[in-house]
Amino acid sequence: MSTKVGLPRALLYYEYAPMLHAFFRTLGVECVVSQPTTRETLTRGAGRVVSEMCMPVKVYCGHVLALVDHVDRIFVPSIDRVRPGTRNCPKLVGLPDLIAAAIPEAPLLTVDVDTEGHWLALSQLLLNLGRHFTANPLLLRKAAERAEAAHEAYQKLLLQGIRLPEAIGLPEQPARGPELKPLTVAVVGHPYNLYDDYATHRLVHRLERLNVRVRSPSSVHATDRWWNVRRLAQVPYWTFEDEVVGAAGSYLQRGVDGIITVSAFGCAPDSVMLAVVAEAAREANVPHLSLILDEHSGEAGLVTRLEAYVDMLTRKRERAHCQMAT
Amino acid sequence: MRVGFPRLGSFHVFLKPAFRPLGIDLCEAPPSSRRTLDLGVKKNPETICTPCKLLFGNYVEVLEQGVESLVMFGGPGTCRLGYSARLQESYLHQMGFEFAPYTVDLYHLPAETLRFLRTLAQPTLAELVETLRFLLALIELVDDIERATLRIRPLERQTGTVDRLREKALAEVLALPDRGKLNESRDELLRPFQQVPCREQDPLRIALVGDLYTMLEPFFNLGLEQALGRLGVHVKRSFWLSEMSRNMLQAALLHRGHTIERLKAGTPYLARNIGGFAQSTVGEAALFAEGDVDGLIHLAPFNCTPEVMAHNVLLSMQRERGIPFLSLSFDEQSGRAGLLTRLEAFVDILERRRERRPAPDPPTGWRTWVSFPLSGVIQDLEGKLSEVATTVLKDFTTRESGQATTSRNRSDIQAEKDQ
Repeated sequence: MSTKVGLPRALLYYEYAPMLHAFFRTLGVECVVSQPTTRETLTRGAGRVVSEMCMPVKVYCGHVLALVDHVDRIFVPSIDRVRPGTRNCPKLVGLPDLIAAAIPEAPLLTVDVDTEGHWLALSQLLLNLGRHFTANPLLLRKAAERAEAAHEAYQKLLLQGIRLPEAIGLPEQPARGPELKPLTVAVVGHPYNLYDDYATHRLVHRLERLNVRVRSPSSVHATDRWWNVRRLAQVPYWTFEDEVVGAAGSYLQRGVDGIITVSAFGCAPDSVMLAVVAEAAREANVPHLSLILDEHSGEAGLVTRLEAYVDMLTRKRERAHCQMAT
Repeated sequence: MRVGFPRLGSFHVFLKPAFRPLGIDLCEAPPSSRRTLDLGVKKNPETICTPCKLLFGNYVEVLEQGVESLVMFGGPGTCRLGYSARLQESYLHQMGFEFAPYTVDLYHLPAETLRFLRTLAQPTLAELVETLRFLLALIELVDDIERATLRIRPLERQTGTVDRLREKALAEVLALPDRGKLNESRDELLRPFQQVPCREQDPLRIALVGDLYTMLEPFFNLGLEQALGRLGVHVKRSFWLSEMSRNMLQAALLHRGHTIERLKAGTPYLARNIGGFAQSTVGEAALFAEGDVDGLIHLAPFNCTPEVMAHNVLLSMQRERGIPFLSLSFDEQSGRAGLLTRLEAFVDILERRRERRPAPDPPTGWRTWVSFPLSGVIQDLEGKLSEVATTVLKDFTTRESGQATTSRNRSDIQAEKDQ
């Protein structure tokens, strides 16, 4: 009987999902992905860690708890320096330690990715992961190649503007509003903040219903994002700085009607990166809405803020048109 | 040359006299106050941690005194301090201050001190060596004063005596001109502490672990050490700069000493270096849990990511080891009354616990007076000796018991044959 590996649908799952699926399929390992976040996931997860912990990690704990009885191993990676000179959030680096302390009953499958710029991050991840399942180097190589191909294909899909959940193949509610000269708004943040439908109260979906064309960080090329990080913050500092500062810089240069940043309350990297984004938005004269999520954020409050923001953007554009006409 | 320096506990007390002979006039920021905090809150991102805000307030207040360069804390690490130092530099320039920033990497203090001295003063090798020796002696002296304060505060007959002595001693240290004078007046400075009239009792021992800034800065931690001392608690800090500087060489050259022990003790709970002071927090807590302290207090700024991780890990350690543990997180809204209530409750619990269980014996004998560099070697030797002794004993006992069993077997066999 083959081992069953559980993948919690939270944090970095959104970045590496297609790759991991392709990898495990080639190795003949069955993967189980936890169900989308619900209130229960969050409540159970929050019960295991201290209250000061940020919401995405609480959600992650909830997903791990949901998998505990159904799989043999749960994949919990520790991701550190993927790019030279940068470091990752302490919570992502110490994730296996945290889960081991908070959920001792979970059987962990841990891989450390710390390249210090000498390794290719993906190869290190895959080789270290594959070692747990096969001793056959040829099979491992085949699996790694397929996984990398899947990751590349995924990146290409994202660059074409296909939204992340669709690219992974997650169920999606297609409810787009009428296409009337839509506003373009860049929604910037980490994928686990943007695409967790429960935590964000379906933010992207709601914006689309308000007749807004949403641009996400994943549809900007990585090179472009990192170039913009250098432009705005000089020296890259965080591993995922490109998803916030880089993407925001890139969209501000291309010209968008508005920019929305989504972050979790208490996120250390975001708390400083948002200051850079806010400054850049002010210089570019683009309205900036900062949404900070926690487990108590009410849906109604969010909807009101979004509606007010979109109304303001519409007025702004109408006024600009009037001025151009006169 | 006037160089601004933010507040970090009593760091300025040893830095200022040490750099004075080189012509570097270190101006420390005025003690942190409500105004410092307000200055920091006004300009910084809202969700950044309070130490960053307080440091920013310090920078502004020291720049208002008209200094040409400014020491800023930052540097790469996982903590957001490195990123915020860059932001704060640009904020200060926006506010119209003209200064040369000097960012110090908090995680590599010795190298940074050397770089600092060489950029600002270009000393000759002899001067540099003399400065460093003076600096180390000063650090030692200041830590001795602080240690004596922490030891005597719970026992003093008249509340406040030792605090007054400490103020006076630190002021005298600030005025020391060179190492010769320091060696002369060292005993004189420390003598009054031994003459404080004290009660005869064994106070509760509570260890402080956690974030450095929170541990050292009395404005931010609302005078925690003093409050605990007056509740009759002997506070043990996990961080002493003098010990750190002593251990550094030992760890780098011999791969032993306290730093390595701490790393080993913490590894079962937190195996990865996640940045900030999390790993040392967990390691120190594990070491203290083995030692003779009655309880642990974990200090962290609200939302400090490495310390939040450490808090979680410490909870699992507490389940395993059963040491009483209180985690306090501070932000700009913290109130002193709430803190005092919690401390009193914690101390009461520890007292009850001690009444139920007799206190363990304090360490005695040569252990208390042997110091670097012999301590590590001797402890190591002692460890090896005891190891050898135990193995020999074990061999001996197993052989004896083995003989016993064989003889019993023989007698059993004999008995069976008889039957």
